[in-house]
Amino acid sequence: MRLKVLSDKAKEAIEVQFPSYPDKRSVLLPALRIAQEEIGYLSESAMIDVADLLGLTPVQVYEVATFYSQYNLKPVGKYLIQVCKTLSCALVGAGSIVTYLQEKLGIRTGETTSDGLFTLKLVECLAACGSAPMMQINDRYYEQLTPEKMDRILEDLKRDGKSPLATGPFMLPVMGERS
Amino acid sequence: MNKMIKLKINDLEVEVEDGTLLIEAAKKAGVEIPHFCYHPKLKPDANCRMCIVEIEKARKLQTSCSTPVTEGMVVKTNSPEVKEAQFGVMEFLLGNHPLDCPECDQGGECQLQDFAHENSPMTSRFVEEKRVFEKEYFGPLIEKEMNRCVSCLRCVRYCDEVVGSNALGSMQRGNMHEIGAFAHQELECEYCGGCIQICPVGALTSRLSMYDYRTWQLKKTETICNYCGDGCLLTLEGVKDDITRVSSEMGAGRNGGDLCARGFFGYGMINHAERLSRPTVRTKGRDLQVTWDWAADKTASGLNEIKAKYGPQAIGGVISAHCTNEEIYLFQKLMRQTIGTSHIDSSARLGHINAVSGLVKAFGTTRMVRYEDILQADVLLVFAGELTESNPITAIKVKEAVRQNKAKLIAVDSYSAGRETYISHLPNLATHHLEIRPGTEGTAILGLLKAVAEGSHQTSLSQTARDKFKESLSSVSYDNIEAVTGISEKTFREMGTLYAGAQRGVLIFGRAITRCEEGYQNVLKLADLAIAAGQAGQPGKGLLSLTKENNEYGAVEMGGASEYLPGLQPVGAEQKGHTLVEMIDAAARGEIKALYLVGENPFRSLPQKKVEEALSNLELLICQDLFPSEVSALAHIILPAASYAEKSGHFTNLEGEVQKVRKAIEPVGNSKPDWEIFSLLERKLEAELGDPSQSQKLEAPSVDVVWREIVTTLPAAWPNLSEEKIVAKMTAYIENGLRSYVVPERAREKEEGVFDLSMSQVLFHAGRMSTYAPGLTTLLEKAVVLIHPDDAEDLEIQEGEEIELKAGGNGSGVTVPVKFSKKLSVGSLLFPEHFGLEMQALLPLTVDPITGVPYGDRGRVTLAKVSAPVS
Repeated sequence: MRLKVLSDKAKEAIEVQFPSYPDKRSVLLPALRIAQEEIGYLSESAMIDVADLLGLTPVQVYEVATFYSQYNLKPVGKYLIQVCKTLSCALVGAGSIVTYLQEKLGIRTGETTSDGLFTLKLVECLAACGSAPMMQINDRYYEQLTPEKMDRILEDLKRDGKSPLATGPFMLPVMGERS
Repeated sequence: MNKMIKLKINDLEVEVEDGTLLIEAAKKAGVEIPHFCYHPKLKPDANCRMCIVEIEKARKLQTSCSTPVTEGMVVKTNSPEVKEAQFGVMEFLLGNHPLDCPECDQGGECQLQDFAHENSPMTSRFVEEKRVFEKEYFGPLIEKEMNRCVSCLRCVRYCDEVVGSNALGSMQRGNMHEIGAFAHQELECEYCGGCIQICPVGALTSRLSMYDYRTWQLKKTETICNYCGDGCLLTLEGVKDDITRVSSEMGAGRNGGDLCARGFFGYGMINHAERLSRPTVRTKGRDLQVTWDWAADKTASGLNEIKAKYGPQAIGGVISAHCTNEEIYLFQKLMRQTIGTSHIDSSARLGHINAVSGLVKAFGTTRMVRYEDILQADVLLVFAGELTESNPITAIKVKEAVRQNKAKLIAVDSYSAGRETYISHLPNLATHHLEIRPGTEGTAILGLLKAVAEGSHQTSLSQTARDKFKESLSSVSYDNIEAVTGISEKTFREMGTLYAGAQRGVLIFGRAITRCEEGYQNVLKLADLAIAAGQAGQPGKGLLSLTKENNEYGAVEMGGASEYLPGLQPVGAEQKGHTLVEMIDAAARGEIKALYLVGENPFRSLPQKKVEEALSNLELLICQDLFPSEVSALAHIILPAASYAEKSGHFTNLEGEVQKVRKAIEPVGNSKPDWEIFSLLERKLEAELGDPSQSQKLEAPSVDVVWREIVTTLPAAWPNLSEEKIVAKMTAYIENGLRSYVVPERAREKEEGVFDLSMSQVLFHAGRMSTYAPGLTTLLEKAVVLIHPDDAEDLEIQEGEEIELKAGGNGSGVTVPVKFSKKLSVGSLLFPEHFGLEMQALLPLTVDPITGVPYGDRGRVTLAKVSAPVS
């Protein structure tokens, strides 16, 4: 089978999953993750490749890819900012966080900055309600957000590619303290 | 029969089979539960929440579409709680629904409209703006209006569960959920129209009839489709005398309400502007449009003159298998009795006659397998790689058998197992696919037969018969078979064991057998195979021959073949007249002076030069047809015939089911149904022969009178044969019939740059007729030659680029654009037979020595890129 965009390595990584699942179609979620890791987002060609590998029609892949916010159907910036918009965060000001980021980056949600560095996205609960409001940038969490914190995070990322303000997914809330 | 369950619905006692869903039990009790996502064809999905009911002792309201009945259940479908919940569902559905019923084609037959009237609050609490989707088209024929969608997913589920096309998907989620194609691209699906039919609202509608009607204006007539042998019941719906759309009632007919692209979108040929509409007499090169009376007089006197001058045997007639049983019966009666010639044939000669001759010889009947048998089979052996395209509804039964009932499907053909993305392909569905070299079907059958005969399975076959089979195969070696077909001994043995070990094995064969070299012999070999494997002569076992035209079964059974009188009674060897090919030869020699061609165009099946010479040689050529053709261009008299929508009668489908055809509209223009023309001619001919009383009878007899005459004329045993009789015939056949089989010495060598070209049917067309249906020409308008993408890559050909095909290296070639298709075997090309006559000239023609079937669908060609002209 000749694939369009996925490398042999990605193909292998997908095929290695087959024995762990009852049928090929069940491998769809990990396969899409592998494809996205390789290409950075799920292009149409990448989805067609996944469909071919799993014996599905392209639209069967597309259904799943459009359902989960974790899959990006368009190219994203170097740093993908996902701000939680679910209830706990919303109650403690997720809305103003989003507005602040939009103004600071000069983009609306779903868009990427012209330098290709940041993409802003709203997502549902990321299970860090205790330290709301929060966001995830690439694989790291940033919790108990304030405008000052966000300024520092973005500057750190621009300068060093990482920020010491990143928290693990299990940052424990400190009782009675609001920074 | 399952256990019966008693329950109470709204205080009504109901008794239904165990396993019945509550919504179906309610329907049986006459209680309609509002619903959207439930559909009897589909598995329960319970996503719309509209069908909720109250069940005593259940803690919450339940969806009746997914709840099976239990003994003593007490159900309320209209309690205040139920109503309130349904009001809630409706409020949500209507929250975003546009109020565009006045311009929606579904208006008047919309489930949302109907249920909103009964189950909807009068006001809504939603004050927000409605969400709006941009209008999209799925392609040239289907309109998608997502604002109207109720997200029931019936279309997506139908596309998956029934058709297996998987072209539609359910995308996004929540408020923005929508139905669509991959990345909003145009669909390249099977275009069966199923999604349009199954949509409860106006979210999916046909672009072909957009805004052409309001549903209550449509006059509906149930009749039988005239495209292929599947015999689907469809409803022609017309505004006045214009057929505007087609539907098929869910669950009705042999097709159970499923249709294919041809059935659903192919009605445009009926009211086509190019239809022949006036009887025309051509004298001295001038066309005179005349009255029917004049035309009939002219035809009758012309025929009588020839008869007087040269005798009745100077007249021949060929009728299309698209005609009704009544018409074919009347035609052969007109030719045989009134005129007195024995030269009568039909388009069943182009292949189906092989199946009839072979199966009748072995089993005494052609009626062995019905759709139910396909569904219940545990092993299906199919020699028809194009099944999903040539006979899409038979294919739906095969798909159901394989996917739902887990039947094993052995496919033997010269296609690859790949498929075009959204168009199903039999080898792709097969659990076992034997990809044989083109033209080696006969040898592949021998491989299976050898495996079966030498196998150790238990069959009802006697030891002598077994020995006979073994003996007749003694000179056949697996090495030879593998050299020819490319399939190993091991595979043949496995498949032989699988087929012979089936509880209910069904063997299906198509044009690769009936319309290709050795056709008759191959049908006999298949019969031998089924007998040796014990897969014939018992309920649920047998052979099924696929037919291309809608009434090929009927055509032969009504006597539309030189060797059969009505009821498949054989004509004696001395009385047997010419077949189609022989008639053309005889006309070329000047022995036949008059030909009466009814809907049959020999230019499409025989070498054009020869046909042209033969037809030009005639003193009288009568062309009776729907559309102008190469024949009508040469004809002396042109009689415009009515299409299937304009007449009544009966068609016999490939299962042997005789089904009623009903007249939906008046004949287009001044055309007449063929049977009326025949009975008019019969009266004219008899009047000329000195029975003046005949000319007084101006009214044609009704078609019912003709049918009654047929039923009383045919032998009492027709149409069905009891199993004992089949077994007796079968036994006698083995005792006398077995011959020794031979396999070609070695494989045909593969030559560099030479491709196997075959002409075949494609999903979107049937014969020439479908090319007049705008719905179908939108899907495939012009000739293209299909090539495997790997071959194209090797030859550096791009899709759409033109290539030149040549046979034998010299002579002029044929230039056509290419289209890629993963379903083809590497090294083969496929050309849709519906287009262009030139391609035929590249393919050699042979004629079956016994059945006279002309074979000209396969050949070998060389291929060259047409270099772009230097500018």
